Amino acid sequence: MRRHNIGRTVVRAVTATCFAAALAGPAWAIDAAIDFGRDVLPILAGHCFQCHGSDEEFRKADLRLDTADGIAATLVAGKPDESEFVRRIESGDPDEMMPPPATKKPLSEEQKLILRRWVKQGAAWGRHWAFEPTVRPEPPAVKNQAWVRNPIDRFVLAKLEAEGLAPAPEASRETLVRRLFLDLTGLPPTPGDVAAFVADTKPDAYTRLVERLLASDHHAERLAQQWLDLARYADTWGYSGDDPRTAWPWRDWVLEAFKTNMPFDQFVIEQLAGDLLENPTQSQKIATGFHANAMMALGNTYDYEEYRTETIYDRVGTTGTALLGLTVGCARCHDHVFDPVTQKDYFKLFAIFNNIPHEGKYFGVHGPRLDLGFPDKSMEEKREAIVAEIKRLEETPAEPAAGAASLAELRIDGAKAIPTWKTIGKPAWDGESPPDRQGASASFDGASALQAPNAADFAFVGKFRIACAIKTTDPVADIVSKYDWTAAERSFAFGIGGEGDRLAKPGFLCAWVSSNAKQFTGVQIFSSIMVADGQWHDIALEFEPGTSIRLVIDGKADEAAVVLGEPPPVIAVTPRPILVGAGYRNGQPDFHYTGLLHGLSISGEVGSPTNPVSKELKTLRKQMAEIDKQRVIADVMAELPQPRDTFIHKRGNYNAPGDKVEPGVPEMLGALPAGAPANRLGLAQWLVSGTHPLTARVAANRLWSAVMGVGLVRTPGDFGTRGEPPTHRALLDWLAAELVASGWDQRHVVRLIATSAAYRQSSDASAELVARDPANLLLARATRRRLDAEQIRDVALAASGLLNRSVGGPSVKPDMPAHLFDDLVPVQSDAPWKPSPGSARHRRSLYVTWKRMLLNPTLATFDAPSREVCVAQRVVTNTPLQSFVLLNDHAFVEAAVALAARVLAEHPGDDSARLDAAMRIVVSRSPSPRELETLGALLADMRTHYTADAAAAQALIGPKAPAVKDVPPPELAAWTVVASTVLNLDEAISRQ
Amino acid sequence: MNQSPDLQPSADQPVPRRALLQGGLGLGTVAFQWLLARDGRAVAEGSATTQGNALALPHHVPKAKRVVHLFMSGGPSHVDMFDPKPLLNAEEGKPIPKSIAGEFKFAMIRDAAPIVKGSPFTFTKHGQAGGDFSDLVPHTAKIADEITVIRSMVTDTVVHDAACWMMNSGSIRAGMPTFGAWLSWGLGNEADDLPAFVVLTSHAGGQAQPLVESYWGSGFLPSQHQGVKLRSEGDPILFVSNPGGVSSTVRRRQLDALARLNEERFAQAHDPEIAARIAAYELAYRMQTSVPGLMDISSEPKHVHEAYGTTGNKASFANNCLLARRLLERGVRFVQVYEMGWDQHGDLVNMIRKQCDATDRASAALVADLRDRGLLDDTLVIWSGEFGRTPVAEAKGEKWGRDHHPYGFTAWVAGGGFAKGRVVGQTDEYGWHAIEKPVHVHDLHATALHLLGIDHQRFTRRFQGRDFRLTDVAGRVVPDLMA
Repeated sequence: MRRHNIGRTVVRAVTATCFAAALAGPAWAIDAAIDFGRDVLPILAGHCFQCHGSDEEFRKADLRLDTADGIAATLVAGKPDESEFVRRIESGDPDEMMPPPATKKPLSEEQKLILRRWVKQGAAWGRHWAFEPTVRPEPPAVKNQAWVRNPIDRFVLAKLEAEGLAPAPEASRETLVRRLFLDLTGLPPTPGDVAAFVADTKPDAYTRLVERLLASDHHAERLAQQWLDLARYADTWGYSGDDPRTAWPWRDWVLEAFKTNMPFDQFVIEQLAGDLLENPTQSQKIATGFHANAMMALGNTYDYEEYRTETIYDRVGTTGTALLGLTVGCARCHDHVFDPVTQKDYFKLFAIFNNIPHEGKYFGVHGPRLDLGFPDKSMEEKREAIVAEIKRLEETPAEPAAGAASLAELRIDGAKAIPTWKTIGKPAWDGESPPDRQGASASFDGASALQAPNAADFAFVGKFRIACAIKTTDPVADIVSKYDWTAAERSFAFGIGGEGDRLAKPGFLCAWVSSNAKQFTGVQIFSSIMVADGQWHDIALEFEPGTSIRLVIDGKADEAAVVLGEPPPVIAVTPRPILVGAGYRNGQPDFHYTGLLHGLSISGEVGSPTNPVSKELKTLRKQMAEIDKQRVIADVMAELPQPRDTFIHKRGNYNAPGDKVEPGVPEMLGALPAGAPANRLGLAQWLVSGTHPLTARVAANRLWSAVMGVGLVRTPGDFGTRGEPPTHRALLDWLAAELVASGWDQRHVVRLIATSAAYRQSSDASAELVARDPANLLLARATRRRLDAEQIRDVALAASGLLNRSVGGPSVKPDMPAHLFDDLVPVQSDAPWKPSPGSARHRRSLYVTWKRMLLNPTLATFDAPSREVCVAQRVVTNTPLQSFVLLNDHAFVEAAVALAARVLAEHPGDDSARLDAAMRIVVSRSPSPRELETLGALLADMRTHYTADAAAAQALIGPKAPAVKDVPPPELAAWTVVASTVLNLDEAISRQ
Repeated sequence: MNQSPDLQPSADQPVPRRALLQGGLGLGTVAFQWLLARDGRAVAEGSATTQGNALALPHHVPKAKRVVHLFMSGGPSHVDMFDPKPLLNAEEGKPIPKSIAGEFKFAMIRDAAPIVKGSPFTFTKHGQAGGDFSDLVPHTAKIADEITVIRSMVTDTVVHDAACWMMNSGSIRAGMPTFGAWLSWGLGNEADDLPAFVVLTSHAGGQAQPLVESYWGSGFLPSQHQGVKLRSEGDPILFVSNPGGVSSTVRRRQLDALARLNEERFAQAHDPEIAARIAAYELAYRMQTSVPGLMDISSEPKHVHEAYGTTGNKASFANNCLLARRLLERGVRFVQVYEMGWDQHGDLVNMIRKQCDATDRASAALVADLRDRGLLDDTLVIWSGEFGRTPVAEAKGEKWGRDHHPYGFTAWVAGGGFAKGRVVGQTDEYGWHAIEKPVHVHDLHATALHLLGIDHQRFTRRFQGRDFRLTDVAGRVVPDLMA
């Protein structure tokens, strides 16, 4: 391509303006005033910045069009015909035209006209609207004062009046009460709720209803649902391993925050940096689970650093999307092409999140975690009682073993290698000795080990004991082991930190013994005492098959250690020789120990099997294992004492470090407040400091979409130049200002929206209005929208009377067809799926176990995201598969039967009253005469059908159908079809 | 409402599309738009994005309309099937030279000096290009002149799921739209009553890796474009069957009543979504009859069953290949047929034989069958794993196996404008690196899209501020792969 001669100015005749004159209204019309941020910048960003933007690497002709000075050099303000900028975009010469044809980003005629008019009007430079400070606008004057209920309405009405439109009439009271319930609580009103509201003629009936709903726990659930999408909340870790995780304590924190109307600034600070606050409470630590929600790989085949880096990319991207409405992720590989975020900015944010003490493997073990104990205190007491009983039994002298076993024993005393053992690497033999002990200790450098000559050596068949003194700071290492995990050779291991276990903690002792070499079957023990603290500790593992396992630290048994599983009666025999200072993986020593080791003693029974298992002890240990499974351990954030250095990743490659960067925030948005720490806390404080306009605008937009169904900015995760501009910018700014001025009171903003006249409009519209404004950008009506996946399921459960309304707690598992798990093979530890017992499976969808790799199909079919990443907006689809769910999914059939039984029982003998009731239960209104006729005809038809085919009737209602007095199965079946039809109404799954 | 009589079909006469198009007052128009949206991309999605739908597809005259991808999940061993390396046999037992394997990552092997392992299988040359095929794949050898063997495939990762996401979506991360979803979104659906993107899975044995939904997910594209897994047990499509006690007649009556009620609401609200929902229910009704018919392969003649080596009622790759042909015939845009169990870390000699016995005949039969029916000309066939296997051994003794290998491996392609009877690219003498004409997964995607009439660089969708594409920021059309 020829070099562009930008400096040359050529006057060209313009013919295209005639075209524009014929059209009126839009920005490119001849008289329209051009707004730089709204009209011009998106064109420049989309068509010019790729080659003429901030990124030097891609920059062509050394020209920048993303700065005022840069673009000024290419044009003469007020004189488009003398501007090279205009000449180039209007040129038809392939060698001259901009953008060049090869970029395949041609400007439309309209876009060219906008740019020409902008130059003509003086080429005023500005910033993108979203980066301009928020100035609280004065609500505009309107003609129809009587319609206005609060300032929101002035903004909406002013626009309508400018467009020559009137707002829609207020929706019916039935519609309003259903809408309020669905929008504010996610659940439909009961017929009683509807009747009470319709009958309440007091002027404040509406506001009282709003207040009642805002105060309910279900309102917290409703707002939480949206936040959970943004926070990519899920109950599994993701990737193909997809192990379960305990995420619900964080979800309950969110519920509690919405319930108590926690100010949004605090909401942000606690979630990003609760652990860094002064004397953080347990609740503030749990809040940081927000960023522990990032997907994390399990398994042993990953490149740990790569996957650690991925979680940080995710945290940076989520923070940008959820809180700043900025697509910062674009700047990971290069400067953002369209928005003023540089790659350096990106890695300043990366540096903030780079200090989590986690190495990229199994977050469930090696990430920072918080032990919340047992859900109820009685379990703690129960456990203590069992521990005491076990201790009592253990101290009771046992019968001598039948059939004596031979003993094998090894001692490493002082500084010498064992001649018969194989030395791997270079252990040193001159380490310091523990206080008051004789002889030097062995020193392991993290690449050394000692291996027994034969696999049969120390192949224990009975009880054994391993004891030594250690001095180390190694968080994860095997000290003595006889296994190769990946080669399916598993006997036992004793070490620090664990290698994939939910309860293992870095720096704490752990051990396991398996009776199955191929698949772990046996007992694990996790210590409660930190040993990797650089001090000398005497440690011991004592194991007795079928009876006990325990850890002894500095002479005392670790009674608070957590034991999972039962001590197996036998120890697996493997061909892997015992190893000191490491463990095996894939035939190679791994999990090396770094530190000192003194006075090692390995002893135990080899030869024939010994003691019979004490039955009583066995039962007790089993009980304890069951209790220990209930322990709640939440994933949280923590900060390394010594921060990691952060380097720009060249081209986004984690292993291509470039310049070093310090933690900070994107330059164009300012800087961390003076004195604020350059860490997560500083970032959080900056986000809500009001020194940049994004956080408040994004939050206000989110609340607007939660209530109104769709945001004022319809790309809620992208307020940048590539996103859509707000439909009502002044209104958005007013709401943002109101949010901040009210002390970040989210409920205040929700209340304003829900009590506005704009909200109370009918969603019914004329065909003309729908044609003129199909997406309802003008708000001349309420937005009719399909309910979210969760609501669709919840509405059916509520209508049928099956809904369990309890709030919070562990996630639940509704039924899932078993064969869905066929292709997951047993690597996923939650397969097979065990549905929750009793009415737990009928809890609200918010509590459905969110399995990232196999989301509940009912929810997935209605566009619930699997939450692998932050989701700012769900895409709504309308597909045949959805009708299969509503018509045939077992859960919906069950709901239809229950709804049928309900109306039959509640309204004996009267078809019309029953049909009326079914409609009032599901869509909160009575049917029209025509609807009643249609439903009545269907009922009559079905009655005939099922009376003639009683077997079919029985098959439909199923063996567990609720019995209704004087209602034979054919009658219940006929009503079931009617109930199913009502549950399938478009209105049933819509908010009108 | 001025209702067309056609909107009340009898029980055995599902509503024809034509009838929907003739519906009264507005309903027909919006339903029509919805159907167009299914068929192509005439209607922008949900919100009025400024981008609208300016895809203007196809970008050029397409050679192919649809794709079938035979996915050997786990990673088939190229050096035992298509890429003979005598040097491996000559140097068997010796460490692989550092100059070849020095800095490369393994998934499982941790030996400092992994040991070269020759192939115990016998290779012969076939077809006009004289391509090599081992005795594991005698049937594929017979279609040598129909296919192009790519011996220089490259991908980015040694990890199963990441490599599967790469092969399916061009990204090593979960959650991106997959190839079939992109095509469904971009080209729409030609099947009247089937999803545009269908997935079939089987497992003949051997060590398997999980197949997760995101391998055929729609990512940030609307969820209607995600692959629909047809199951051989239970409902072939989830919840496609009526509940017990609900006959087709009952369902028809119910749907008629439902349509009438929904139409009434439409007359008030004028929300196009209501019309779309009515149309969706009608399509669902038709799927209820078409899907079981489609799944019933017993109607196929005996010689067809023999050619594929089908297995009766027992689910298998062979059955799925035959099913794939039936789906393609009905206009399904993208069919993906997975065989699990190729992850031969150990006992490779026996296990790969088992996998090949389960897949070789049917893969070749599918190509021949498509050819004989005139479908191969506009159908792309892609045979690949997510990567290959190492030329060095993992584990020792008789039960040796091979580890994951992304640096050079084999795939083959056929039909729809792909070259015939060609061998493209080669690996070094150890079968390690693709040294001649390397074809990255992105390049394979770019080439396949090209044959489908799509410029991979212009086939984008904006998500969170960035225009994403199947080929990420890479990919080039490879002329050598094309006729």
